[in-house]
Amino acid sequence: MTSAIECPRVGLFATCIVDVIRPRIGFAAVKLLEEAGCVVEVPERQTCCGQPAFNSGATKQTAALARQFIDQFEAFDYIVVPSGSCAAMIKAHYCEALADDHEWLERATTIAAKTWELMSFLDEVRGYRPVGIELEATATYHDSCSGLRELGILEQPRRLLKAVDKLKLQPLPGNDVCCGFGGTFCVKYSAISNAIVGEKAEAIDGTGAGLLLGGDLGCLMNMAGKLSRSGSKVRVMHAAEVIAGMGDGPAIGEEE
Amino acid sequence: MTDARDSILQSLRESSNTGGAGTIGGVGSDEIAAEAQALLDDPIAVRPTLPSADIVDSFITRARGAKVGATVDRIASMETLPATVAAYLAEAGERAQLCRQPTPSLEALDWAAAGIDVRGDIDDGAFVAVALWGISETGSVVVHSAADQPILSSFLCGVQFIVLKAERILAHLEDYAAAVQGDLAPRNACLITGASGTTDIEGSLVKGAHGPRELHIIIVGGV
Amino acid sequence: MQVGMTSFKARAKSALADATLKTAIDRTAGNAETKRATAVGEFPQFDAARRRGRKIKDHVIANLEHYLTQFERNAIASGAKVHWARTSQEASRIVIDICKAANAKSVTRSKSMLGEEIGLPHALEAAGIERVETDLAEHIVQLADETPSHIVWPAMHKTREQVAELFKSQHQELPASDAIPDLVESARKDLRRKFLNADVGISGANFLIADTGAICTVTNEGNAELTTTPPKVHIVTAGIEKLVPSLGHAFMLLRLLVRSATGGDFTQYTTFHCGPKRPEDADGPEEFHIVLVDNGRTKMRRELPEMLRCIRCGACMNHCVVYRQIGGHAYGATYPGPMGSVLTPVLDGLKQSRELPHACTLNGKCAEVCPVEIPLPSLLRGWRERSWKEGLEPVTVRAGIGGWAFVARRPGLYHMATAIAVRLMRLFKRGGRIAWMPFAGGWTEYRDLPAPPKKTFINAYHASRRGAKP
Ligand code: SF4
Repeated sequence: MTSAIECPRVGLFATCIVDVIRPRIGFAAVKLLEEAGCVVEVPERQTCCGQPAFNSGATKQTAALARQFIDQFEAFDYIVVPSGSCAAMIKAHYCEALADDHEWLERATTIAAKTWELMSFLDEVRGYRPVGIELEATATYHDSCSGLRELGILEQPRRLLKAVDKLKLQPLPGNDVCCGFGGTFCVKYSAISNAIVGEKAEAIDGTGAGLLLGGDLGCLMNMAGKLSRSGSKVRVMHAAEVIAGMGDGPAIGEEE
Repeated sequence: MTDARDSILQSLRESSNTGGAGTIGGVGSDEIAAEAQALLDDPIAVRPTLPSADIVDSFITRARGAKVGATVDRIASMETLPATVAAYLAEAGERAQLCRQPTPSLEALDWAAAGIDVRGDIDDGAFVAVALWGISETGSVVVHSAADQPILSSFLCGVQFIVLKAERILAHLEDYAAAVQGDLAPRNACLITGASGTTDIEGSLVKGAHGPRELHIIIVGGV
Repeated sequence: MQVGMTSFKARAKSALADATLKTAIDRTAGNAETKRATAVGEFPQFDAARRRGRKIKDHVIANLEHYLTQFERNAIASGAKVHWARTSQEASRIVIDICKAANAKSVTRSKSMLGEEIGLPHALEAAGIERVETDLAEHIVQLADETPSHIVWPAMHKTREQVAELFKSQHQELPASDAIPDLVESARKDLRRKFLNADVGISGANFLIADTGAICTVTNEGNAELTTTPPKVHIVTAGIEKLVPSLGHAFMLLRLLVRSATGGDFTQYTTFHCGPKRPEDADGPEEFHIVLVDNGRTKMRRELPEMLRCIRCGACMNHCVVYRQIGGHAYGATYPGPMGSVLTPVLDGLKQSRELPHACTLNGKCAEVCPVEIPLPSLLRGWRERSWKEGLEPVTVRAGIGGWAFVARRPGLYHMATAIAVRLMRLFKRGGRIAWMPFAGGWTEYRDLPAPPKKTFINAYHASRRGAKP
């Protein structure tokens, strides 16, 4: 379970949404990685992985952002990302984006192998479990699509959350059904997206849980925004916040 | 017409990633055949297992299962077929009438003795035919069109009786493919797997869409 | 009908406003989803079977010329007449010509999506030939004067109540009640007379068997056999990708097709049709025509070969969150849902249909359930790239993504921009949320936006590291 490297140097890529909307997730990630024995660095010039360009078909822009990212991060032992979809962009799609460029393709392949989504890194690479963390709540968990289908993230966050004292996990019917976020989809086709997330919000409410957790801020914002607009009392957080013992702070959309 | 044929084949040739292989009688034909054959290897890895070690029992389990929804009787020999059919019809509250496939093994039987009126006209009534094979994997029975096997009758009847000899039951679909391999294909080879059904309205299953409402399979022998 | 007149977004919007439509879709697709899951669960070899199925299709597509000519040779030997059509127009013209030569007044049709693709219903109408749809769902769609909204359940968009209305107003045999069995019985009686009096029967084909020249149809209703046996003439229209080397290969694919489509283990009627009635046969058509249709498929073989694997099971649409909200008609094309959004740009041109590949969250569920492992999300993304390259994307999108990428590639500028964005966003916050903000209408019309804290993560983290007040 533990890595061959005793104290690996980890580059944290916070992701562009976490950077702006919810820095708490970044701080939670730093804390968890340090507790898991890593030396964490946060490259100051990081911006975005390029996913919006990739999914819009803008190949040149995607390749440029991929090169920038590789330049900034390839020196680390690991690159860790608190988002399944951004991690999947780097792990699964940089090679596609740079397929025509032999030298860069090699670098993309190398970086893909050492890039991890935060919770799967903690669980699989570091064998980490939170100790002495407690949260009295009943939570339900939504599995975001990219993490689930491109990276196989399903049990890792649950294993970590089970180690949080007093936290009860309630299964979410349709936990693997897309929430309707889809990056730019949610604003381009906002009416369709709304209908999808509307059903998701009902399913979440139906669990009776007071807290919704997940691993991708984009999806969490989508669900939190719909839940609060429809008057639900369910609070929404990134699972890393809870695992890092920050679960008593403000949830997404609550005043700091 | 020839134009279209040529231009389609030409365009396939141009885009062919097998480098010209695949032309009729060309270098590639044998390789293609070998590759195709290899795709049939190790069928066990890619097909469902039978519900029991016994082929006939497996057939019965599948045929009676909810997905096929047929009923199954077993009799020792053809002589008791009319009485079995009569009993089924009486039980189902149907008239003791039926149309039979014009084949000697059915014509030789004494239907009148069982109180069954043999008619020429199907019209939504009962029809009895002999299947060539049964397939345990799916609970299917197979009929082939022939002089004594009109295909339409199987679809115009309301209740379909299929007589199936126990020794004609095969384990898997591949076994049927192997059984007919090399034979001249009949005009119609029909694998019947239950009565006519539809899920076209709200996905809910209703029997008797256009063809038979009920399928009753009578396995003969092997008891 | 729906095609062309309105935009995808407008059609989607009206579909979203139709609560009955949603009920109808959820009843059928929900059923299908559950049944598929059970069927796959009961078949532990499913994944291995999928890989094999994919290989079979890939093998055929790679050697298509070989199999087409082999099939043609064997079909002709069995007494069939084989026709070739490059385009949908050519295909439907061939069919109409055969009907005319047979003096056909009435034809029966057994559901075929290829028939829809080549515009056969319309062509028959234009030729003044009566068309009787024999598949129950197609019959419903015909009575309603609509087009199919799903490739396996063409009438998925109709509730039983709506079907009852249709049957009451148009059947001679009125349904005894609104209960589904009574509706089916009413259609059975209404259609039976018509089956037997048709001059020509037209079917599609699920598979073309190269080594025998047979074509395979699968139905649960038995309407294919009722369509193709009584008339003098049977016409098959089939896409050239439907070939398989032999019966055994067809069976391997059938195991996948049936489970993925309806959750059954096997279709009720799986029939291999080979040539016309033999002299000794008790019944069957005197003429047997097979029309092999290209209509973009040779082009797809170059550009989108994976898509030629598609066996039309419909699982991708049953499991698509977008399809489930808007139904099939909103796509405005013959093929809806994920597979349709990949195919339609080939069939109708990307310019007409560039919205379709975008109307997808790329969640990957469709690829997960596809029985022949078609990477649908990647193919959709491929169309987005094409559309971007060909300059079909609207200026606003190009400017938006282009501008954002320009900034994101300049870290200094980017972090200045995010700091400004944070400040601007905070102007609109009430409590921790933003309920409305300019330029964010797509989001805030339906959802609240969380207000960002004063400092971005990068700023706050590095400020704290430098010992400054975070
Ligand atoms: S793309 Fe795959 S899932 Fe969709 S219809 Fe075709 S075979 Fe079925």
